[in-house]
Amino acid sequence: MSLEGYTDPRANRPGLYTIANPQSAEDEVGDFLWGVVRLTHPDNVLETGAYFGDTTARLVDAVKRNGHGLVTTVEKDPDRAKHVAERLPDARVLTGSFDWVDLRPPEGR
Amino acid sequence: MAMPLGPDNDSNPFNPDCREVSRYHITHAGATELEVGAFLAGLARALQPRVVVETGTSWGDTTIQLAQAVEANGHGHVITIDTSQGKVLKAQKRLQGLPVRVLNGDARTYDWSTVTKRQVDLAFIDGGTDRRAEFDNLRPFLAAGAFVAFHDTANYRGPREAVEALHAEGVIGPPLYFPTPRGLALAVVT
Repeated sequence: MSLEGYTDPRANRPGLYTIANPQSAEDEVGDFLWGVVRLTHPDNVLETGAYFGDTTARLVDAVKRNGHGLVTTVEKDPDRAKHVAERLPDARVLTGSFDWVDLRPPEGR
Repeated sequence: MAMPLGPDNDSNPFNPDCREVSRYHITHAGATELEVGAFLAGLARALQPRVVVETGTSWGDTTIQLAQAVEANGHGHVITIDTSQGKVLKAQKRLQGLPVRVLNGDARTYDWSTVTKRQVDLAFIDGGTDRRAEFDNLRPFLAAGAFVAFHDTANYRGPREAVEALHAEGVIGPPLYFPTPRGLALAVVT
């Protein structure tokens, strides 16, 4: 869906951007981060806020293309974390508060 | 086909900040790393540029990635320029059907007013030996807040010096240098 009429009015031509789910990061941001991962070849990528895993999926794809590296994502909501963990078995999905002490894999993982 | 970058296919010294040169790929000796094209394509998706300019088409490896990103955007186009007529003809063939215009000319002196207004939101400076002249010639056509990437900032003296001078003169904001084999700088026009 388009972000028209849905976002920060200061944003540059918001109607040009698209999202997979309401409140998701823009698909174009995911594409940009995909390029950043391809360019910088990181061993570890950390994302806070997996949500539905749309950006996470792009990060995982880039890491696979690189041939090395691990994506870790942190999602506060345990149900969403479970969904993302199922959707992206190659990612390390953690749930809990964003306080590192509390992080753990979602139930059943 | 893509091959890992290494001393066998590039005689220039590599960026000492690059952790592993062989993780990067090229299609021909001297071509731009494909990973740089992937990054610029991502940038083209994030910025939704009206016009993208590339100096130094060469085999069109970066051009095709930029053009595919612009095509995915659903608006805008890429203008690329090269001094070699042979390369331009090959690139035109390869890029057929994509939103690209391939020009045969010298980026230091080309009259950009014939092909664009001040609507260049993204530029990739990767032409000949005088990258500063290429930037200066394009500058009146760079939109406010345009992003400019400079290739080869690691292994030749010219590009890095051009970027440093442009920053010192306040023409571009602080450059971000990526530790890629040949070096890549990204900055925003002030």
